[in-house]
Parts: sequence; C-alpha cells; structure tokens
Amino acid sequence: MSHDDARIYDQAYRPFAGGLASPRSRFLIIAANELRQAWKSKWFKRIAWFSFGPLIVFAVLVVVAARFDGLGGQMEDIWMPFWGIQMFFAMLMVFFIGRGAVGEDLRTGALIVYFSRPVSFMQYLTGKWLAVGVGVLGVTLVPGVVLAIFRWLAEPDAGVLDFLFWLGSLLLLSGLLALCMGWVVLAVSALSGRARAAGIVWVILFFISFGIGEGLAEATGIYELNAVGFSQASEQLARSLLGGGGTLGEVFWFSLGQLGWALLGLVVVLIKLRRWMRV
Amino acid sequence: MIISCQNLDQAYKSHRVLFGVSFGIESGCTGLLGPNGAGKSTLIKTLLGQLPLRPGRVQVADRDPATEPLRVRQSAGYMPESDVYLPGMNGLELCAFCGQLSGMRRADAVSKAHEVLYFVGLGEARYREVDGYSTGMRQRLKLAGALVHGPELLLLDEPTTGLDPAGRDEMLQLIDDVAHQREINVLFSSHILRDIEQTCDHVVVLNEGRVLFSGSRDDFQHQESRVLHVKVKEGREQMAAGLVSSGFEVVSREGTGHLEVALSEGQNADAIWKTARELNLQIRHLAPATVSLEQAFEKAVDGEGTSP
Repeated sequence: MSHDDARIYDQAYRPFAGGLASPRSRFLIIAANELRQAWKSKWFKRIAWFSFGPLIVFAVLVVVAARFDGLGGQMEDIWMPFWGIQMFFAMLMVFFIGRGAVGEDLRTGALIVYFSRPVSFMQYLTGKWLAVGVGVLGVTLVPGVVLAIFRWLAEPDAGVLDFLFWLGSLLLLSGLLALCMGWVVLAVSALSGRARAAGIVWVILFFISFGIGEGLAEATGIYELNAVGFSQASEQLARSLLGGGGTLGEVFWFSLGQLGWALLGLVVVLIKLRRWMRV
Repeated sequence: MIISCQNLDQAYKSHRVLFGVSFGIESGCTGLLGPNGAGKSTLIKTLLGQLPLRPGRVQVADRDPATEPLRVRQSAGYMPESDVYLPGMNGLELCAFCGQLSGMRRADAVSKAHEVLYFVGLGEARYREVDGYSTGMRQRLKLAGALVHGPELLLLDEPTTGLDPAGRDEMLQLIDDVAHQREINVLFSSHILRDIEQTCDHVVVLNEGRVLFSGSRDDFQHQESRVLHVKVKEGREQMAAGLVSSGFEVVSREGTGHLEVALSEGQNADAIWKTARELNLQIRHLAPATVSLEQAFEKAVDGEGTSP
C-alpha cells in the first residue's frame, strides 16, 4: 500500500501544536465534565432552579417578620425548616451527579480514558468528589448565605458578629454535608456499578440514615447517637448551631458522625479502585 | 531515540511478564510484534507509567515514566485494546474531553476534536452518543482521542481488534497516514503480522516477555533469511555446480534465472564471489532472499531468531 492510497480522509487535520497546561489542575476538568453531563438532564436543571424556591419564600418571611415585631421571636426557627428542605435538594443533586460517577467508569472501562492521560489517581478522586461537592454547596451554602444576608439586612438587632456566626455555621454545615454526601454516593456508585441501582440505593440510604440515628437516640436516650445517621447528624448539627442552644459537645459529635461516614465512603472507594491507586 | 528500554523487568505480583527487556525505537512507525501473552500490553502500560517501577530503565520521549508518568502521558497518545468509553457523551464531547485531560484549553480541544473526528472518518457521527457506536466507530474514536492533543508518540494496542476486513484496512490506512504523513511516531502492538507488514518500518519482536529482535523490518526479514539470490550473466548451471562443490546448498528457481543459495553456519557471501571469480563468471545480482514477515516471525518465535 502506498501512502497515496491512504489519503481518503479529510486532509485538514494537522497535529495540535499549541501549548498544553500543567497536569496539576486536571481535577477541575473532571469535575466540570461531571457537572456538564448532569446538566444535560432536564430534571437536574429543574431541581437546580427549584432549589432556590425556598430561599425566596424564607427571604419573604424574614422581611415580613422584621416588619412585624410580634414575629421577631420566630426568626430563630427559620433556619431549621430551611436547612431540612435544602438537604433534600442536596440529596437530589447528589443523585444526579454522583450515582454513576465511579460505577459507570468501572463498568465501561473509562478509567483507562483518565489514567492513560496526565491524570493522577488523586486528581481523579478529587475531581469526582468536587463535582458532587459543588452540587451540594450550590443548593445549601449559596442560598444559605443569601438568606443570611437578607436576614442581616432585614433584622434591626442583627450585628456583624451574628452574620459572621451564621456564615461560619453555614460553611461548616455545608462543607460537612458535601464531604459526607460526596464520599458516600461515590462509594455507593463504586459498589453498585450501575447508575440506576446506585441512585436507588443512595435515596434509600439518605432516608434510612435519618431513621437509624433517631431510632438509636430514642431507644438509648443518648441524644448524641443521632450522629450515627449522616442526614440526621447534619440536621441535628444545624439545630445545634443555628437553632440556638446547642453545646460544643453536640457540635463535635454531629460533625464527627458525618466525618465518619465520609471516611467510610472514601475507604470503600479506595478499596474498589485499589488497582489504580499507584497510577 | 523516542523510546529506550534497558533490562526492564515487569511482573504482576509473583508472575513475571517481562524479562530484561532491552530495545530502542527511533522515530517512525514501529510494530510491537508478538503472540498473545507475549507481554505487549504490559510493556505499553509500563511505558505509560501505569505499572510500578521494577528493575530496569525506561525513557519515553526523553522522560522517565517511573518518575514523570504524567509528563510521559502528556506527550503520548494511547489507544487501548479494550472497548472504553464514557457513557452518555457524544463523540465530539468525548474527544474534546480527552484533549482537555491532556492539557488543552477547552476551546482548542473542541476545535481540534472536530478536525480529528473528520480525519478518522467520524465527522458525520460526531454528535451521536458513543453508546450507539459500532465497534469500528469506537476504534476510530479511540484513535481520535489519542491523537487530539498532537502527541509526539502514539501507542496503539491492537488497534484492529474486532474490526471487519474493510474496517481493518481503513484503520491501517489511518495509522499509515498518521505515521508517514503527519509524522507522529507510532508504536503499534499487534499479533497480526500483516498489519505490521503493511504499516511499520521497524519491528520489536517480543515472545514470552523477551525481546527476540529489534530493528528495521527489512533487517528482520533479511536476518531471518539464510538464503541468498544469485544471478549470473551467463553460465547459470556452471555456477550452480561450482557452488555445490564449494559446499553450498543450491536450489535453482525456474523462470527467474536466480539461483537460491542456502547458507549454512559459517558460510557467507564472500565464498560465492570467490566461486564466481574462479569460474570466471560475472555476478549480476547477489542479495538476501526476502522472506515474509510471517516466516521470519515464526522462525524467531520458534527459537531460531536472532538476538537484538
């Protein structure tokens, strides 16, 4: 076969001669791609937009409460229902972003696509987690901060310290939730192999984790056992921080509960992907 | 030298796969030839830094995969043997994502993905989901993904696996085009001799984890040949008789006018020239008989081959 025979294709192709970026930031590309793929789902888009609905409702409530002195005492209670609803939206976001994140890569052999390119194992894991984390933070931290700003502007008694406390609390709550939900869903995905199965298991796990903690706490009378379920732990942490009256011990245990789940998820993912760890 | 290996060992747990592999590959298209289980894929994975460091020294595009695996993978494009894809993505998205993973800016990656997909013949199918691609289309897509960032070196692991004859020919044409028209260095692993014969200038022959030969394809075919073609101006029969009396095994080939002279151990072409001089005959042609790559490969693998 002569070389001329081979010229049956478009001859416009020339090898890329431009510069290539340093391999250090590949996790951002992986995370962006995960989010881009999730964004293709119309349900994901709807949920993303709907997740800002409660913010509007609660912002109106904050303004109304500030206008009427008699409602001022109810302000502390605004955070709890707000956090509960946003957690639900976070669960849905995680469902769309994380359910196939690792499992589908394992099923289709896509790990070779990543690891035959300048992507390290840590960058891969970080990128996968970051996509889920961004989804969680997008529906918890972002509307939470906006609501905190509303409340600070609307409530005459709220000072800068109050605002900073809300901000810090929201950061801790959202960060722990992102950490925990991210690694748990990646573990579920890695174990299930198929996105659909992983999604179902994830939703069940989210609701069961409410019941486990609550059940154990009620059965034993030890309030801190609410930390055993990650969703219950997050709700109780929100109650301790933003509901007022929580002790440092409670904050510690509910944070530890979520960190434990995150660690468990990470260990499961590492075990499932162990043959790629040296890459 | 684009790839250099010295005394490379590789093993999966206690099972050794490569034994002191040493070879060097110059620029161009090189075939990595060996039967199934010879260690070709393991060697490619080692070159990409996907397997842990073992005794030996490897350089790929002047970089050590053991210490700079990410840099090596940035300068190389890899087309794996297995069917790999990211579900839910179309051809263009997947190809552009491969470019981004290799370090291209998104705009460059998308632009180049269009170009390379047309090049591999997937221009019309680039917006279709990869899940619905045929085997041949996926093979082309893998090639496009390996090419999109303009690698110095292209590592192709059994690129014609699963293709029908027409698809195979087209894939070989593409590889030939990439290596000889686009001047990208190619290491092409295959157990199909015809594929290597059609596209490669150099060969590395691997069997049971050991290199049997490394060098140009012509040298391989000629080295494996211990037969010379001899043509004299006149007196063909006289020359044949002279060679036989000098201890050569001669086979006359009807029609071509050549004498086929088999060299035994210790014999070389000098004795043929000497015989012709003694008989006062004029040699018009004296060259090693070219054996097919298949014959050469069979000899090498059967233990008759030459060492590198």
